[in-house]
Amino acid sequence: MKKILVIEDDESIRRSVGMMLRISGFEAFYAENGSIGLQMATQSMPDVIICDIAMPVMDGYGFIQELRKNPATTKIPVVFLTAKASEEDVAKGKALGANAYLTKPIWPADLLKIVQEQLGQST
Amino acid sequence: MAKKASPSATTQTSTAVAPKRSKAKSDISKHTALTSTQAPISENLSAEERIALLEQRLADEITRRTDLESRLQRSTREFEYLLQQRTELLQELVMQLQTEIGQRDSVEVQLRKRTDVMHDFIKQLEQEMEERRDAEASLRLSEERFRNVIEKSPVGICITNSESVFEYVNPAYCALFGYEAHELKGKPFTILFSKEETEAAQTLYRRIFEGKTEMRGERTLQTKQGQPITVLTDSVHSDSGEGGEKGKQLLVFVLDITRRKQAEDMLRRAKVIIDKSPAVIYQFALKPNYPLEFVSDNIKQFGFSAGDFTSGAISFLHHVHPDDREKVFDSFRHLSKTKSEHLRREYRLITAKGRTAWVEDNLMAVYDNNGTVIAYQGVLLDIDERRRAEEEINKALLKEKELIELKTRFVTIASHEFRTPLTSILLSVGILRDFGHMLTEEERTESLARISNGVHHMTGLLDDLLMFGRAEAGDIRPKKSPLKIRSWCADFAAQVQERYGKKHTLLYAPPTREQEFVVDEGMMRQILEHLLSNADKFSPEGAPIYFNVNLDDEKIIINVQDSGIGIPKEDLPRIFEPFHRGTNIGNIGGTGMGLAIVQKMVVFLHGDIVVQSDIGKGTTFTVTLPLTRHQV
Repeated sequence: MKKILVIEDDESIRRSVGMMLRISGFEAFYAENGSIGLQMATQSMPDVIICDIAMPVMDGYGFIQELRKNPATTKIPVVFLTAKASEEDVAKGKALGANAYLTKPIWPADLLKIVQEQLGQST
Repeated sequence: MAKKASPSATTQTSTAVAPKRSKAKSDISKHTALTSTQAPISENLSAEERIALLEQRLADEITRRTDLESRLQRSTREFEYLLQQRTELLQELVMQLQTEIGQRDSVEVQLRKRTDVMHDFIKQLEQEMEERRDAEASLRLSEERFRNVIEKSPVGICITNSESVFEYVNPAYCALFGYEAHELKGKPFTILFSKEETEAAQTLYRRIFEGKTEMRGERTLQTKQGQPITVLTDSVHSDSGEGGEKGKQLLVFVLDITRRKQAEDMLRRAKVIIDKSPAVIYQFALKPNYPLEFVSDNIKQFGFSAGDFTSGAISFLHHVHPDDREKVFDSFRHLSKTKSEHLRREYRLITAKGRTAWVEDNLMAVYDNNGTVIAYQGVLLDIDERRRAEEEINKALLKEKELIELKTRFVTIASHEFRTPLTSILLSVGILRDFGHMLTEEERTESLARISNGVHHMTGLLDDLLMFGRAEAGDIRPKKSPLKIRSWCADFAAQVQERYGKKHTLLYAPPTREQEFVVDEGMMRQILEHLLSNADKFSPEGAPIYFNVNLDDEKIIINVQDSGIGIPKEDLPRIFEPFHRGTNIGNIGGTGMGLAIVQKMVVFLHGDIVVQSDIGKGTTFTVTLPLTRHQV
């Protein structure tokens, strides 16, 4: 079972995404900010990470920079799921190494499709 | 008187002596004649004859000699007598002479004195003659100079007689009217007037000549070419020396003032333009405090008269706004230091009535040949209206800028704040739609609850936005009703604690007594909701939050204190601006509208709000609201 790490400070979104992933056959685990997410990524080595950007303590930018510095985690696909929807935000996210950049709000099916793409799975 | 013997006495004395002297002389001559008759001894005589003859002759000679000697003795005596006589006479004469000489000396002294006086007189006469010669030379020189002056004078000079005919014209006079001297001499002076004016001119001349009026003044005459020429004329009565009416003359002086008149006209026109223009022209003197030497009359637009300043009654610089005075002094220093010719500055002037008016001053330094500033001149323009318009425009631009910033902040915040609940809703809806058949009942209920919460959250955001918009527009209607403050606050504190859950403990300190007041309960709730929500949001988990309510007869004082991140000093002045968020909040969510709404509500309720904050320690908001006691 593929492991998906969800890093999101809004509990409602975190739980909704988690619910969708579980139903779809993934093992989902959660972090409420980038700092906790970094620890969990190092410990659990997820297959894909879904990450918000605007979060307290450590935001998504800080998280991906640290993740990419660590050789063990540098290749883990990261999907940004964020309310930051401007072109500059998208460009910045991709420049920092995000594999996909999704803006909120989003249908769960679309999110699932991107996750599967990152895993090399087809729907 | 004895010494002064008369000349006749002297003559008598001489006559008495004279006969004696003649007799002696005759005796001598006789004797001499005897001697001379002695003839030589003839060689024919014998020796004895010769000797006898010689002896005879010797005896004769001795006799003659003896006779002669006796005569001589007599004569000698007579002579001595006469000599004595003569000596006495001479002494007498000498005495007389001495007396006369003495008298003559006195006369000579007098004569010498007279001669000296005469010499002095002659010398004086010579001096006077020399002076007269000098005077005559000076007079001739003076005449020559005078002629030169007249001939070379730039002032036109002419001499006219009783018939108003030119007798003399100097070159300047000719040049002035374009005539040659011979063309004017012998002609009446009315030649310089137009035909229409000839008669009047003649009458005027007559009156001037008779001393009934004066020629002095400005007149317009005409040149030989018929061009009008404005001249300043004056005259003096003179006399040719012929005597009588014929000898009377008029010496007339004429100065061409055409250019001066033109310049005066121009100046007059310029003055009218300046006085009617809004630009005030002035000149500062280079004296302490720079008094005004000149200022145009249109300074009255500021309520002053030009004389107020130029007389020294009022100092211009004292009427410059105190805050701008140094700026004006700096202008003088700058011009003097940099040798610039021109400096434009704007400052405020206090008018005579005390109004503050903005002016634009274009200051110029006037330099002498050595480059030293000798005066400051300037043009002052009332730009008060323009400045006020600029200020209004700047305010409007600032407001516009603020609105743009507000809009940007709103779009940014709304984008994030709305997207988050929308995401929650959309995810839940999607799960229900696409995965509904795989959900448990519990998961289905949870999804529906999330949808509901998301909608509520968005509704809250929209309510805040609408409330702020209405408050901005002043479109809030109070809904006042009686409220028991103590019990209401207790209920409210319990609701807040329920929302906080385990995250925070709300330490509520109620008022010491119950009191019913008429308040807008909805607004009170909004104020406290936002303050307590912020306290929750910006405080670390577990940190207590204080909520104190105090009452007196007139007001309610509410303190909300947290132990949160605090507000940076630079943010404090802006925390009540809509959509402004503290620079230290990181990714803590929120719209930035809460405190803006709180402030609007507090102002609307005629209260006030004070904030005190320390970074890392926490923030305290104190809201004071006036209360109206409920009349039962």
